[in-house]
Amino acid sequence: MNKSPKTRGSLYRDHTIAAWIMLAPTVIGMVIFTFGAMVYSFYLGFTNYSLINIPKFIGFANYSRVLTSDIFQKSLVNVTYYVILSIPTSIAMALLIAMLMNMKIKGITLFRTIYFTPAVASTVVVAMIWGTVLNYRYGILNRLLSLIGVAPVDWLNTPQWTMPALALVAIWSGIGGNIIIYLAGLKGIPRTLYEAAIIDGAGSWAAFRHITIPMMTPTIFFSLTLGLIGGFQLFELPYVLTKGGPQYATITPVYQIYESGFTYFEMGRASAMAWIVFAVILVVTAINLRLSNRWVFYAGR
Amino acid sequence: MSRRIWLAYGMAMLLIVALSSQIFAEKITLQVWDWGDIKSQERWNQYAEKYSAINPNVKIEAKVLDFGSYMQKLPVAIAGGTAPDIITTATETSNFVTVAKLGGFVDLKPFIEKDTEVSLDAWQPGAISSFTIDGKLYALPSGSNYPDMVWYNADLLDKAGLAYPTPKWTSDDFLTYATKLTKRDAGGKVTQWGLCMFDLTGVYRQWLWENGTSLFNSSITEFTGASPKAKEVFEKINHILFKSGAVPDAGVFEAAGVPSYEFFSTGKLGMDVWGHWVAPRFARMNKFRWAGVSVPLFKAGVQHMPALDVQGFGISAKSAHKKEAYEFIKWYITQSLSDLLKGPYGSNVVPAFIPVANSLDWLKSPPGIATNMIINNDVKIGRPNPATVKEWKAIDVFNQYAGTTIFSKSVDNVGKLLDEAKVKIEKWLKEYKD
Repeated sequence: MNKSPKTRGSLYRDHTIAAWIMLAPTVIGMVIFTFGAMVYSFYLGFTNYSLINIPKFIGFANYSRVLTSDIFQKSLVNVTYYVILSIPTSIAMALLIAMLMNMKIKGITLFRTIYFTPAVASTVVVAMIWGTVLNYRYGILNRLLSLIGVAPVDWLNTPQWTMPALALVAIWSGIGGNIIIYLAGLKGIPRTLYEAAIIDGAGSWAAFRHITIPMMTPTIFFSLTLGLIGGFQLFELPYVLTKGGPQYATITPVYQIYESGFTYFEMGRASAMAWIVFAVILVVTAINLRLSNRWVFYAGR
Repeated sequence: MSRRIWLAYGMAMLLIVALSSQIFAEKITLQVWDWGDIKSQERWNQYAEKYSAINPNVKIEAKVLDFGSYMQKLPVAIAGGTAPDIITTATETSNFVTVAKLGGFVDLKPFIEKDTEVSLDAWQPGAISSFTIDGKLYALPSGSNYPDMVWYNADLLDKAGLAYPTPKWTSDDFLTYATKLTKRDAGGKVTQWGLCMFDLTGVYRQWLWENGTSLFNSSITEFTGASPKAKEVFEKINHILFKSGAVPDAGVFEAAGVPSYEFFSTGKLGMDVWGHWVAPRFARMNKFRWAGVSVPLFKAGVQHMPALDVQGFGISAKSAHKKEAYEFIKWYITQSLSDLLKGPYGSNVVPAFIPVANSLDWLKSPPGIATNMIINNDVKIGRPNPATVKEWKAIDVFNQYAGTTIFSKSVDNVGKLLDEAKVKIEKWLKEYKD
């Protein structure tokens, strides 16, 4: 007897089951190790827990201490300053370099590799190398600046210069990844748009302004969103280069979370800080998403 | 069956039970965590074998991590209930006091009080008080990594016509030595540095105490590091480091990942300030004559007050084998350290167990009798590190607002910097809650 052909509904059901089976390891992992940990840390934020003792409920005490702490407030200001310094510069530079790399020039692959190299180096290694570059007396940056008559700057020990120095390092190490994203975006812009613009008499600047930028806005939005989320979680660079100093000029919320949790074992306070940082990132991302309606152009819409 | 047969059968069963309990006795595994290098792991493996040979039912599993990883992994292990039975700890970081306050260590006093072989009097008193909080002893001291010592290249001192310093020397003498040991070529380029002093915590604490002050008052409610006497100390340190021209830039060593004690080994450095733990490294180089002396007195005639840091072993509160762990650390401290001293390079810590500290093995070990007698005395009179989490945090705040700046660059007006820092530090102290 022939089997009756499967209906659309049963096929859909089969595919759904297969999809869930294949997704299960990741979903289970996320539920346990991400959402489970998040729920537990949310609970710990309301307790006095120091790894060894049993968590003791203390209400909003951790949140009120953290939010009224001068050092935590300073860390939020610092990280905002870092984001303002690093993200727009990084986006602009990466886009510019990606456009240069999009040209058909001999040996361009070599340049792409060179620019991408810092992206694969660990942040700790990058920080150590830049520690040498930024050294007040023997660093190459001050040597180069002295050639144009600029007095040496104590990059890592002067409160007003440390955060710009960290932003510089972050831009250098992150630009390779952004270039690759922008390069992919540029390659996705149809040539016909430029050809039509040339026929209409548009110059290079007009083509850049009215074709490249609008067509690249989804990519810019993507990299801006990732940049904001990553920027507010700044940790490795100040940890290796400045230890949050001098005078808390490079202290960041995540640095404080680490210090509270793993130097002083104050897991309750560290959890409260983590949720405050999460809330800040959520608000910033929501604003970014909301504002994107005004400037991001999706070709399909 | 006759009674005789029953009796024989019973005796045989008893014999079997008795023998099997010996043969199948449960073998205890004690986990020990320590920090160090590959050589430390090799040494621990040797101790483990040696101890198991004496105590066949105890197996020692030693794990050696680098210092940074150790400090990160230990709290995670404690939280996860996987802490080792024996935890190496030291007073040079906040780690000891934090774990002790949280109940991570067992109080060892009851073990020692019951012990008929050793008593607390056999340890250096400063070492015992370093590990004692609220009357409870949370670790058994093995030795002291500090007080800081000034290690000097005796050949370079001879060439410069400088007498070997004694513990009575002063910070002014220290500066004179550093300056005279710094040599420049015709173009003004330094060819030999006078001094490296990057391990400053012990030095500034000692000089503050010797000058009749400290960083904070005893209840840690007031910052006394901006008092005139404290300003005098910090100005002196900043002068030696950045205005004397006798000290190279610390950043170069940090950026290159080469500590200054490696530089000392090249013979191009007159004096280097570190704890005793560098002595075995210097002993290995065998290029020039070297010795150590106490960090100088801040001024002539003041009472010498070295700052002490102690290393030792605590037993995890969750260990299932506390008694066995105690027996092992006692054996390690009283026996194996003596063996180590018989080796060619000596010990990286100054023994805290007095019979070992007074032994000829220790006194003769590198850097030799004269220096070791000075170190023994410094350990004996040394003052312990902070005993509260609040003080450790307050020191962090001081470093942020003033310490790091004073110790990392030339400051025109140290007094003004400290006055400004005082306002911020005292605000922090006022708002601090445990």
